[in-house]
Amino acid sequence: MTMAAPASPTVVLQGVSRWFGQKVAVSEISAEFGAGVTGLLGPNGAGKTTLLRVLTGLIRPSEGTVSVFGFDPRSDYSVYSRIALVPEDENVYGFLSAHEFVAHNARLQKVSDPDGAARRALDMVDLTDVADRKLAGFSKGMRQRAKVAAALVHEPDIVILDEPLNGTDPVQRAHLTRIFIDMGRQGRTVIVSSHVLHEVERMADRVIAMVDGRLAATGTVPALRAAMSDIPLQIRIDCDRPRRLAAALVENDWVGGINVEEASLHIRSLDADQLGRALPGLAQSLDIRITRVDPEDESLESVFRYLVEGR
Amino acid sequence: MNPQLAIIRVTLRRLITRKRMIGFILFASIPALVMLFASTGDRGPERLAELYHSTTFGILLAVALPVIAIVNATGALGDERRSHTMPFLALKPIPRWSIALSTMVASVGATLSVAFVGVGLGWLVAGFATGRWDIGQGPAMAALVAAIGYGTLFVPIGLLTRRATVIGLVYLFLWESSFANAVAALAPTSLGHIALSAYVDLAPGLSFADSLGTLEPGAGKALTKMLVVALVSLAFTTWALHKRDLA
Repeated sequence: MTMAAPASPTVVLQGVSRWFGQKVAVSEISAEFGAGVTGLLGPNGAGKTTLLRVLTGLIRPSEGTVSVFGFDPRSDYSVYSRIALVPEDENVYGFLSAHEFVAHNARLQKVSDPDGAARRALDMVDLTDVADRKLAGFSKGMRQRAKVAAALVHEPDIVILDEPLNGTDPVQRAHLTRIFIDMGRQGRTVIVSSHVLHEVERMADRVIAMVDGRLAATGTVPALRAAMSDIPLQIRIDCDRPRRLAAALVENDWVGGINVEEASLHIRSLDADQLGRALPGLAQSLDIRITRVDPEDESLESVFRYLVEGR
Repeated sequence: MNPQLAIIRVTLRRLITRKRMIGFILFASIPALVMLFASTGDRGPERLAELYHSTTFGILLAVALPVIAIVNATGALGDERRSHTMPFLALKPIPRWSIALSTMVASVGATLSVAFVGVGLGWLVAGFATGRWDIGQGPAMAALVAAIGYGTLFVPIGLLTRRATVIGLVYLFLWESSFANAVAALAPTSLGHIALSAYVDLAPGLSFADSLGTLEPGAGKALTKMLVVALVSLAFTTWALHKRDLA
């Protein structure tokens, strides 16, 4: 299941594998990332963090190549002036204040006015009021935001975020999500790893799903769903005589199962097109009034669950 | 402030915590305290000078400074890796040798800041007690030489293994204190003995000069050897930062 790769990829992975002893963390991943927000999805242990570490050059691939703007980040460190990583780990330099931490990152990025850049970055993540407080006293969500500020302080072209919304409250999540979406719209490459699927669905133009270290699927959420035509669809039908409709539908081989309730039925359909074609005729011939037909699993959550459980 | 100074500053702040500094300075000040007690007795200047040298070398330079240096050096880059803060350092457009050099400078600086407090306090007490103000030259030079050696050698080891501090202490107490003391030919492999050769050069006639083994006294030679150790460590750390996984 794939969709068109980005027109101008900034990050290219070719046959990337990484194993630790006998354990294969990432297996033969080829993917391209370009402008916009790409969501990297997968359950714990899927290999997302390992892939992001390989992608940034923090760890070596056992096989395959990584190219960032045409360069290997493990041999050409100049590309780091255009990359930023927000690591998953909560740890930061607790002995520094938020301002010191962000300004330190700006200095290492050779930003011309590190203190000014730090103030702007902290303002972007709403940490101005606590800029002089030590990071050791920060909550997890505040640390996340400080890490985001440190990552954005040099205005990178590629931003890689490993579970960036962990520990943040709903207001902070909405705010950070808006920042990531805006960066994507500005033409930057934003790669967001997360297991909170509905958030990725909200911000990502494109999704890459990983399962057991392998690439399970890539594409937009709707494209993914359309491409997965062999996946059973759960559809809810509200009508005045659900038992009668269920009895008529269950004879078809494209119906995987039906659950009948008082005023609705939930069909597990193996072919949504067939169901769509048959339903009006059945309703008319059986004199059943249908008030609502809704797919119940169009969300990324269901696609992802299928990918994980269906393998 | 350039990136190198920024790395040195942050690494120093990480290594020099208040609690750690208090503990280290107390540890390094033991010779000064011994001298303080001794100077209240009826020992003459010669005996006080001998006591100063034996406690300064035996406690500060042979035990306290190496332990402090090993803790600092193994933590200089090792703590970044163990606390998962390495991305904030490594994913920057800075050459690996520059990162390695900056952390080594911080490691040596953190050790020297403690060692010189110990050496300085001892020198003040001994100077007042003996009236010989040149008495601190040997300890100061030996502290510099030892801090460079230990403070750089264990930086790459700290990056490569979690057990670097244990390895350092085993090297210190098994290799240097036992084998290199027992077998004269092994003295040149001991950083402590090389530091002693600098000490003895500037403070001749000391009773413990016999433990130099096959080494000749010489402050310049000792400093040169430690700079070679530092260069080799720099090359090794640069290689490790370049080739090894950093997370």
